[in-house]
Amino acid sequence: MAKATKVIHRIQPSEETLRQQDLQEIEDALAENKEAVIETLELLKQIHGTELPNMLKAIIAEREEVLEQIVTFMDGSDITRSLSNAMQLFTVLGQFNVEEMEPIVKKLNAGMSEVAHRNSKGGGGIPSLLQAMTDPDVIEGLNTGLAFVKGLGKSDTDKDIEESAPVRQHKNEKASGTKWMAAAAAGASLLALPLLFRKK
Amino acid sequence: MEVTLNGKRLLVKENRTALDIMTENDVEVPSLCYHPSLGAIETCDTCIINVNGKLVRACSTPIQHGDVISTNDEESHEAQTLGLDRILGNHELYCTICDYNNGDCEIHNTVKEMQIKHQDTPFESKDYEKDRNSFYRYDPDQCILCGRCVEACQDVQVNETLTIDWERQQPRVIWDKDTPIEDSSCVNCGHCATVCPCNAMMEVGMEGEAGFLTGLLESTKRPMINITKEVETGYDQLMTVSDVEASMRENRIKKTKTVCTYCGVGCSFDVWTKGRHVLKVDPQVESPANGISTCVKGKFGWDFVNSEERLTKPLIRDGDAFREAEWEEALDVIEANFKKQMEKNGPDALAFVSSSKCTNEESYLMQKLSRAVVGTNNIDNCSRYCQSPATMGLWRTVGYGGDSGSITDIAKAELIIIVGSNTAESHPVIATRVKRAQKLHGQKVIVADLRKGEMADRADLFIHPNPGSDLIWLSAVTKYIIDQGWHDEEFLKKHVNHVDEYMKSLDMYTLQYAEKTTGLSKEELVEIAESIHEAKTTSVLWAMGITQHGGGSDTSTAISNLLLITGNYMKPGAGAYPLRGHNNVQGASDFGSMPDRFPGYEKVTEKEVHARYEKGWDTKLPEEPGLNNHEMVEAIHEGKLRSLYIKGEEMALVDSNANYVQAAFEKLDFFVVQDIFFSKTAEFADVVLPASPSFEKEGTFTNTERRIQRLYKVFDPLGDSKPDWEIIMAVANRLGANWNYTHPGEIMAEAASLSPMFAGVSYDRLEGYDSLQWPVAADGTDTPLLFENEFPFSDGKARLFPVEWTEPITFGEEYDLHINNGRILEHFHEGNMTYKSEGISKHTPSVFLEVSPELAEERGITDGTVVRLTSPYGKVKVPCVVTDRVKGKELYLPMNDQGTGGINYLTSFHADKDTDTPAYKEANVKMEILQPTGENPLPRINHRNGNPQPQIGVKVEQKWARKDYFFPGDMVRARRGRDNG
Repeated sequence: MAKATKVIHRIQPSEETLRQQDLQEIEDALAENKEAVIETLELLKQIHGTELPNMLKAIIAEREEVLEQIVTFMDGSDITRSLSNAMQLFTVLGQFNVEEMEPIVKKLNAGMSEVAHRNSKGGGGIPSLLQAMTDPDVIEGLNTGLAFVKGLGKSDTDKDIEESAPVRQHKNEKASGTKWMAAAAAGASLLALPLLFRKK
Repeated sequence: MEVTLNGKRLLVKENRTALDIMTENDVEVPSLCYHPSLGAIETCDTCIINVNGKLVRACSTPIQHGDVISTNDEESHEAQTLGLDRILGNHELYCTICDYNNGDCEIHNTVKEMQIKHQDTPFESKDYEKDRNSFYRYDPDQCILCGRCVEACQDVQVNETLTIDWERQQPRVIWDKDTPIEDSSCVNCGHCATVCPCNAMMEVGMEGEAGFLTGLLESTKRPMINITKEVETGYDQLMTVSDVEASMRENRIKKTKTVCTYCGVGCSFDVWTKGRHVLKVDPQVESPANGISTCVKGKFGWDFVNSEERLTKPLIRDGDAFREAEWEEALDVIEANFKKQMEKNGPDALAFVSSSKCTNEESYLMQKLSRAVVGTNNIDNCSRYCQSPATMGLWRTVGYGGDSGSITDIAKAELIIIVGSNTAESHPVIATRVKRAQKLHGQKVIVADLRKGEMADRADLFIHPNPGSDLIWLSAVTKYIIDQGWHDEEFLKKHVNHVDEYMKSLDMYTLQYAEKTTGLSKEELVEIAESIHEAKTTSVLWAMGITQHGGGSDTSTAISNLLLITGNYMKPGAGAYPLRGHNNVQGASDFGSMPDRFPGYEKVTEKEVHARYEKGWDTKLPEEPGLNNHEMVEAIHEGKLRSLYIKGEEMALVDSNANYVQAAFEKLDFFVVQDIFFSKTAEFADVVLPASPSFEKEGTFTNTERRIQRLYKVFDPLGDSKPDWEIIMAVANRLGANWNYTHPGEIMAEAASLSPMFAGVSYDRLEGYDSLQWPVAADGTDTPLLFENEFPFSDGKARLFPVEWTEPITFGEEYDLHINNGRILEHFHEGNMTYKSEGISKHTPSVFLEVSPELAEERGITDGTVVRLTSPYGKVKVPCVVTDRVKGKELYLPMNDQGTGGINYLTSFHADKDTDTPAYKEANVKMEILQPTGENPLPRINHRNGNPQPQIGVKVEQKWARKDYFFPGDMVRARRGRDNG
């Protein structure tokens, strides 16, 4: 025999009960993660006394303004270009074939040493140049130089150059030499950036 | 047939496009506008390949025997790259700070796969503002104009709101005749956001939430995008950085497969969540019932799960108020009172009501609690209020009470007859299949209804019979077909009993008699008969307009008789489709929450069955059928029923004659209500138990196609609420049951071991998007087409079942208006879930009464006039909307009100003579005006005020006709010709 009612008396736990519950939860968490907590405390001890905590606090508190200032400043600035250039330089470095460069480097070294040797001598003229043309080392040197010049003359769409580029439609082939750098940069920047963002 | 693909000779099936063949053989090319559920759209020009020396679009090129296909030659690749380059001119790549960067952005993935390092066509803003409503937003600057959204809106959902205006200098997607989204005819079904390949059309739940870096202030976002683009000079870096970020997102975005908890279509989808925040609902191509489709409720109507109004603690009545309590105390009270009642008045003084919102496992446990623990067959569920008559009509004639086939069969039928079903609003996704089949494939649609809803509007033939007269016109059409010799004699001879007896029973249903009693013309009746005769396959869809009458079972029977006579069973595309109303109204009955049936519809009175369950449950079971829920109310008034346990049912509002039902509740000795909200029914309870909705538990639902699908847990239960199966087990164990189920899978295994209909159902066979349509044999073979070789009767033959018309009840002359009632698209039933959605409530804030223009003029009613309706049983107060959806003296009151507008304050306790389903549709009222003017209850932004723009697809020809358009294949050939020449 019950008349309809909409009245509900809620359980209102006292402040003290709620606090006790919270403290209990914290205590449990501390106990479960004893080692991690102790290690973290040691780290905090080291940081304590430096300005780092204060800086972090300030940055996080003002994150929206800070971020806006940073990105507005960076947008179109030299910093952006530097980063961009750095990325491109890395890309270029990645394209060098170091194995093939080794003999060339040796030859460059030999050339350097010849130059140093020659500087101490001085003199000479057209006759000595003609004489030098019979020297097998000079001929080899000139051939090497010509091969290099020929390489320089190739357009970048030529097949030889394309061979080192990834082949289309081979999905699994990850050819880009800069991938690891991009990934590392991404990881680093992503780890740093969230400090600056609103938590959703 | 044989074709050559990239130099390899292959045997392939016929009627395939080049793209089909490539996909089947794992050869990939970019295909940004192509979506398997939408087909070729031909806007993106990225899938260009070489077929027999010609550069063509792979998506739309049919392949013949002997064709030579090349996808990776230089010309094709150049053309594909050109196509993609133009797309990139329309879409700014700032992946790392994009909410759509979740590993499934198709533009991102294509750029990566194609190893694009830079673009020639610079990105340019289209200079249009973003547009949004409460559910999704469109960013023209990110839109690649692929037209998937338009295709989905025009030809899958067939709401016909979206088009692309190719005429303007800078094309874009537009709503209606270029209105803001909010003012358009958009029904917020979400198809556009689901199929968009990128972040152009996106759910607002995702915005600023999905990524670690996406919650930026707008003022920070632009410089950030610039820096990203500057620093990440090539797309290599951009892709890698954003891929790293996308992988990090997987750590906190959870994607869980679930099944919708609204209507009986049974849409399944992944829910993306971050904590308890729903980011989006993502239906899958492989979702068995719905594919990529959803309606506004399934796509966006989930705010209720986090509502502050959720019950989170048990409530115990204390005099005239409730107090919150702990579970142990609530269970103590239930134990003491149930035991007292059982001892004092016997088990039949108790009754149990299962919920059609809950899982199969929960229905199974509730009936087991009732039968095996308490010892009564007083167990029922709310299909009593809707579809029991349809089930009865089918049991009588074809043996199984379920849809004859699948939703795909509805799409396949040559003729669809919809009787008494507001399909577009009540079963929106099934309606899309009919609308699409009619629009694109010439399916004929006949609608019989009182109200001119969307399906009626679109129908090839719309008939408006007098209320409650359907049995007559159905029988007259059947008789006419027989008289013309159009019946399927061979089918009848081979598969059907009682043919002569039935044909004789039709003698009285002449066209003249039908004309007189139904108000339909002879021509209309003949046209229906001819349409059925001409169609190879006819499917009949029906719902509450048929069942909720004094003769609801008989009219359902008449439908099945008509289908038998014309041989429209046992073949794909044909048959009977009683559209089930709730997500699990089918399953609630399937799993035994019925007073006379065990799970799988086996009768409690059958000795072998009874013995099987006694052995399986190891206890004595009651032998006599119990009370159905309509009878329960009467038994309470008679003092025979003293205690009631209802889970997940708002019986105080949804049973007819609400005043009478509520008076009964007041008389109960002890009343337990289990719900997710403090419902009207709960107000009468002694103990209220907080339950968990579908998102917070595992289990299975069975949809209208008899399809059993698993749902997985999205969140933990809120507060101290618990999944219903755990609560039922706790109650049962207090009464000595000693159950120890640890997972719903164990409950299903038990049900499958006892019920032959579900013999092969197991959670292993229902993993992910796998599903089974009952009956399921022990080896796991299921039954998409219900009748293939025979009907489930002893001799394998169906039975024609003669029926007579039951005249609708009459009201006194003063009750001069007929009141019809039912659903609307955006609110579900009394609205305790959908009104919690801010977006839905903004567009449709309250219930409204539809009044015809004729009646409005006669009575001086305008939009917003507040009226009181009075029937012999009660009264309601509602604001009016004047619309030609209703006619003359017929009113329509949606059932979406928990207060003074509740339709069941007007309905009587009169019910279907065979099943006790209330005759909700037989009600008359008188009307008085309370306030002549007032605010229109349908705000301007309601979709009903929009202006749809029907067309087929995206009209890509208009794009091709633009002066600035070139086909990349031609461009490549021209370039190469120039270079070579």
